[in-house]
Amino acid sequence: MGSQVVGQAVNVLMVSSIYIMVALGFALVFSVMRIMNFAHGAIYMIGGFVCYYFAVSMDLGPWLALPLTMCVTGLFGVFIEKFCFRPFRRDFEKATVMAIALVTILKTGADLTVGPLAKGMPPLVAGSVSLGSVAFGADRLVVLFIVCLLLTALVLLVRMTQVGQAMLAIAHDPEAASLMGININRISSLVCAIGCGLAGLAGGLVGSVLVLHVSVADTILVRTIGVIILTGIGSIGGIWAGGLAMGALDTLGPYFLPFVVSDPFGFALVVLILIVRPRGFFGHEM
Amino acid sequence: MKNKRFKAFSVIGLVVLLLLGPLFLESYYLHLAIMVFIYVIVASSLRTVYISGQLSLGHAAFMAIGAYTSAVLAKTLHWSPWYTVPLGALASTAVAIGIGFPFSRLRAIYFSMASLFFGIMVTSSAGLAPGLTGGFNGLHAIPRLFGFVRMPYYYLFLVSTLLILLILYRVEHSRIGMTFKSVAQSHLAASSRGINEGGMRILASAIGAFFAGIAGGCYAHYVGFIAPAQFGVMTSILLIVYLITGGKGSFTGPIVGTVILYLTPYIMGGFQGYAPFFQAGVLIAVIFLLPEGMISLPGQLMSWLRKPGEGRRAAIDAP
Repeated sequence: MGSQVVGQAVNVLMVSSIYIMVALGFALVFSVMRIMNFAHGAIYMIGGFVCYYFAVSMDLGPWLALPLTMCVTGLFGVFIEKFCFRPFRRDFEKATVMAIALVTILKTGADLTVGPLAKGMPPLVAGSVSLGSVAFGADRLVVLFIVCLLLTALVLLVRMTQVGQAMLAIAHDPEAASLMGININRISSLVCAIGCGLAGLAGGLVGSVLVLHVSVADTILVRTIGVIILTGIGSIGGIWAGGLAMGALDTLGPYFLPFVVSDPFGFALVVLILIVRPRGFFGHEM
Repeated sequence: MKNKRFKAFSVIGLVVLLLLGPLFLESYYLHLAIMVFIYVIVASSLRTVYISGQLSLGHAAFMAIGAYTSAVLAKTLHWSPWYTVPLGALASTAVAIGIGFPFSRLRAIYFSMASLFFGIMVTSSAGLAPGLTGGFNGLHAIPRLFGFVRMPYYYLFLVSTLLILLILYRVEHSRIGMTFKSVAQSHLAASSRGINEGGMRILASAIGAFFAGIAGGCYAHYVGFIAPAQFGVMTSILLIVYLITGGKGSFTGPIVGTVILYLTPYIMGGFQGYAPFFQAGVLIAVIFLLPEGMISLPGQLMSWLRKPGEGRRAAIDAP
């Protein structure tokens, strides 16, 4: 029993950390540019396949492939910010159409090039770690460690540096920020690069633990929006809690309830929260 | 006056074309036309919700409620689809009113997010009662309205689409429709004039849900098979795309958008696999070049032809 609890805890932490990483990027893009990037899930999926390409097809190994993936998806983020989202900043409807066009292109591209079969990647680290009487894959711990490191770095970037303060300023009031000499275009590019880079890296990390498939794009997008709604917009600390809750719900739900029940009930909870507290648990007034 | 007469003539011409068309068309094209009719109903009902200031990202869920209610009643209780389709639409309206009370407190993007989650919730609850709804594998062998010949479906759906469009048009141009628009423009100004903002939002959602439910029921009894995935998030977002690329500012917008965007993958023929690229290209071209949607294309073309380079100003001046 005890061993099961520890094993499940590791699973919850790993799934949650992936959700948090994707949701943070989504939330950053949302708060700075006020658009919902529905293509975020597709970028996560593309990240997984790019990582697979580097690691397996080009035989570079996962440790070189992961940073390369992050660079590629980050550059892609700069590209879509400049050419797709910049004209429609703060225009929710047109940006939604644009994002749907991007999702269509990315998913069809992946379908045509990769095909419908799921891919698997070699694990980051072989072997397992034993803790008392339980043993679990070392790769899961490595994934968890990488995600924690990156997220801490991101939080420090937002909280401690001038660039991070500029992001917060734009999120708060773009006109005032622009009057204070903040280059909104540059910061938006940076934010999009960070968001897409994190999403791509998350896709690559998941590829080494689970499998890669075109359909993960929709799944992760729904989960991401769930985390965002649970926590509210504009709170970085809250996303950690929301991601943990969502990860726990997804991982542990099937244990306590029949599988099909956990899905609608989880979302019913999210809708309920939205009704009781439209700003989410930690959100600020917009 | 001349413009009005031209409009009336073109509508009559279109109706005659639609009435006579199937006599010369193959069965496959009839199927496409029937699907277009169904989605035109849904997209236009979404517009009724939209003009009250609510961008619903879960509209396909109302289609799902109508389809499932009607299909389950017809299949398990052996009721005639002629009764179950309106019942499904009423069920969908009831749900819309029920969730309307909490949801009408949410504005703008919060409403969009809540409706997105409502959509996910509805489709995933189909898995709660697999015995009744067939779970995620879908419900097979739903009783059909007329069997397998497509011609009667075509005429029934054509007539009901025209009727529903007429009703929605009258609603939009009635006092209620004006009230919806005033609520969308400024909820403060509207409520200071004594308009019940929340009530109007609920009414708009209920009207939209009723017709979406009818479309869902028609779909179920025409195709004979429904599954949760057919009414999922992507369907809801696609409806939004039909509405916005068609032209959200005009009644004909969602109709034009649905017809063009639904048919684009099929006219590609030999390039089936690459058809989504083409569709995405259309979307991108429309939002960059035609800010008012596809329906503004003729006006835009005229202005580009008249004075090259003045297109941008024409786009701003367009109503």
